[in-house]
Amino acid sequence: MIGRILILDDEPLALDGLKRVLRPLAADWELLFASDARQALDWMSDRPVDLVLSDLLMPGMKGIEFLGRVRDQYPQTVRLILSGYIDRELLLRCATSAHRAVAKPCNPADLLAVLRRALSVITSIPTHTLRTAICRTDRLPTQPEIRRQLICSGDLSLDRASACVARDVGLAAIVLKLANSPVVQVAKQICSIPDAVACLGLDTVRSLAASATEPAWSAFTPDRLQKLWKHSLDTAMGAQLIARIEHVHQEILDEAFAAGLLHDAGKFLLVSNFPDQYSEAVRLAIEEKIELSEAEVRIFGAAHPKVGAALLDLWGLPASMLETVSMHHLPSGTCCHRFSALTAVHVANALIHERDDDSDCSPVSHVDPAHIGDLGLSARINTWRGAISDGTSKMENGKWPVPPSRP
Amino acid sequence: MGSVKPNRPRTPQQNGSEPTPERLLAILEATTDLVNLTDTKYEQLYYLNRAGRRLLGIPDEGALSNHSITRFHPDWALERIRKEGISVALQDGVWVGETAFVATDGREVQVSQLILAHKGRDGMVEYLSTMARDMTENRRAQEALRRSEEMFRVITENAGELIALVDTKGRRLYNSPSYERVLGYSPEELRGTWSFEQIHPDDREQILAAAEEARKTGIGRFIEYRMRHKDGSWRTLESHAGVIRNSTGDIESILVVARDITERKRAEQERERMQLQLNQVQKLESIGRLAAGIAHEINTPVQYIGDNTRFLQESFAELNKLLSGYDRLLQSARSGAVDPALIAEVSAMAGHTEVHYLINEIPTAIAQSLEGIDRVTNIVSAMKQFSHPGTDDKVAIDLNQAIESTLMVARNEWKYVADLVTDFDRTLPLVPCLPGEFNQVILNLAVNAAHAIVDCVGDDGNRRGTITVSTRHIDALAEIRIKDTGPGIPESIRQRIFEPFFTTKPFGKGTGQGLAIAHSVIVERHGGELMFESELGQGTTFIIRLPLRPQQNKQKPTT
Repeated sequence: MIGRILILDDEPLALDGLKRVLRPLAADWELLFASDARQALDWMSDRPVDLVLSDLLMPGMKGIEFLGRVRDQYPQTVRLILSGYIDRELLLRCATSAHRAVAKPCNPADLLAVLRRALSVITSIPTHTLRTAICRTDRLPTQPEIRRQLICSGDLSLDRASACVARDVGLAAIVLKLANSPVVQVAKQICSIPDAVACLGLDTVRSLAASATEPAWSAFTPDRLQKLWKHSLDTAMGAQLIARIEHVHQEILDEAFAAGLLHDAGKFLLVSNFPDQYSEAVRLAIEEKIELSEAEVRIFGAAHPKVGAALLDLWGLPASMLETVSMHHLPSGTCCHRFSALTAVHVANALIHERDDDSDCSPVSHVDPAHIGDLGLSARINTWRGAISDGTSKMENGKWPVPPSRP
Repeated sequence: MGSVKPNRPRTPQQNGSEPTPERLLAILEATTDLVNLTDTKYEQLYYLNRAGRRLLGIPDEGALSNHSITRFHPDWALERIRKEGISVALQDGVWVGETAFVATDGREVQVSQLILAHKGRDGMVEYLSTMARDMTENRRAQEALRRSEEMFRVITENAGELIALVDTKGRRLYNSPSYERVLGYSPEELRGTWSFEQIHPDDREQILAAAEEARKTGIGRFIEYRMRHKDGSWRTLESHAGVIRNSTGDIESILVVARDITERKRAEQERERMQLQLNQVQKLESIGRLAAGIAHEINTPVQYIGDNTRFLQESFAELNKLLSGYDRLLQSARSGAVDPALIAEVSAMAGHTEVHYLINEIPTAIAQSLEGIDRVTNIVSAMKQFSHPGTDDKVAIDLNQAIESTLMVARNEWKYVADLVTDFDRTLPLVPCLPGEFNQVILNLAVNAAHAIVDCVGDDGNRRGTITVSTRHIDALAEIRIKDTGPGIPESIRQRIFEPFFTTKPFGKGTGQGLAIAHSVIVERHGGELMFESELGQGTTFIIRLPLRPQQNKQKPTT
């Protein structure tokens, strides 16, 4: 059955223009053009659509309300915004009701690229169930303690706010999502948490922390959640440590940290949506002595790196971070031949698994010899291993090494 | 008439001017002063006139031989008379001094006493006479005067005000000590100096004129000027002057009472600055909120113009490819034998190109792009007109057009909730205006109208209100009415809506300056009127009336 895309704009001329430039998609997708939200919802009730692209300012039902309804009624749908004006207030309200926003006016080729990208993400997910889980995930879990610090701290500085966000997977993800949206008018893509926090400003970051809802994490055994959090943070710290040892540029240092924090986004998503199946995958991996990723593929049809990358891709995070997330087990599968954030995250993840030898979480994954050999850094692995165990012993004393901040 | 004779002194008997003993005695008896005659020792009373007898309680007809004058004086007075009065009188013939009598009721009566020594032909003093005037009233008046002077002294020396007395030439006669506190100069330093010395050169003319006026009319007025402090800084004073006349009614000196208003002026300036800033904030606020709407209004057409142009580019490439196929086909046909393979190739190309779609779609895309460009042009020129750079000079503008532009700029504020009806009087002449400020007023009123309608019908787009904007030429006035179908203004707040900071909008949604600024712009800056008619449940109409003749900007009264 051919997929469907719905475009909603109250301006008929704008719809006509979009009809013309989106014509190349018509070969593979059924395109629906609605000038009214009610009509759009009517059409969707006949047969769900895979992706909606909606204007925000419209008479009658506003774009924001329309997108909210789509999220609630058709969670499997990708929701994109195309708007001539997105201010901060609107952005905060869209933070969770749309996956991504595109500002009008935009280059038609760019718009096509964004749509194609989103469509390729969802079509690459083999099962409807998993696709629905990815599309309906609008937040990754946030630690209540960090939310509290951000909201209640009377003398919050940007540095302190960055430090808070840098310790929380859920906040880091949404802050990076918004910092890479059109409301932040920065030409380059933002891969650094301190940069993202600085671009959004304290008020916005606070509001994001305040609006985070406690997800129904009952699915997680608190123990598993804690371990996953700790592993994410350890990997972020470790990746930053390794990048620092290799004297890379600050940008890569920051990106290594952020990508390290988010590298297991897919695991958060799978565990929270499918707790029983996830336990099954872990059991399968242990019993059959296979990589956890392989067990995930068997159970869900996709492994957590791919699932995490798909989610962050829909959110419009920078391509290099997506690559790090999706390839963090096998960097040699990319065409990257120099030390990058991917290298740092990959090594840190492998070495931390090796150190923790956590049988519940996953069987040990190894440093990819092809990638490290390709970089000519095989001799460095022991240095990195030593640094990781040093660095993490400090963490266990309850003193985290200083999270990244602006130089 | 007989001959003219020189005046001859008339005999006393004839005209009664002769100082006869009877007459002199009558005077003595009639005067209110005490008069007596005593022996040379000032003891034995020979004579006491009626006023004396009254004072001392001696019957008019009673004999005086029993009375010694000495017992009618208090001890201190008698002592003064004996020690000083008698001897001086005996020696010099006359003594004057302050003494006292004891009146019949025991009261001590202060008197100014004159003692004369009268000599006989032999040159020996035969007797003394006394004339004494009751000084009680006089004393009282003097005491009152002294007290009054003291009071004024205390007042002037302690008053916060600067008090100065200058003569008609402007020389300082007196300066209160407060001068030292306020201006750093001691009263001694100032005495005798020229009072205009420390006045700011720019203010001197004004002061001289005021002083001149006070001299002429005798009426001073409030003036404000700067005066140099001893440390070189300038203080702002506000003063009022009054004239002091001498007994003949000529102006003798000018009394100046001044007050240091430097701090007050500073506060006033601060307040004005704040007001200016607030106006600016309100303007920025409205520009900020407009930015959203304008961005949307412009970006939408720009988006589809871009989309269409991209489409045209691609379509042209497709058509061009097809055209070159047709071209080859034509050349082949010209050469006589058309290759069937070429026909098949071009047919396939034509089938693939969707020629019909392109032929239909391209003109539409062009037309819609041009329409989009018109829209952008309209919005941009409306913005240009709306954001007319603020001038301080009024220029004659077409109100209808200015209003139209402003409504266009604010379109996004109302288009989702209301229909706009305009009813412009095209006979309206050009009106002298401060265009930037006038547009701001129309914007504020239009946005308020839209908000009022949202209050009534909500913003879900199901129900809409109407905003009616009309202009009329009425006599020497231009009238603008902006009418909404909102809920109307509750009676209880009608008095307050033009007050600064008064707002019914939720916290953070309005500065409460919109109507206050509208009022000040229309009334103070344009000499016009701003009022409203409101009916609960029906809506509100704001009415602006502007004079068609240019008026002076209302200046703040300078003092």
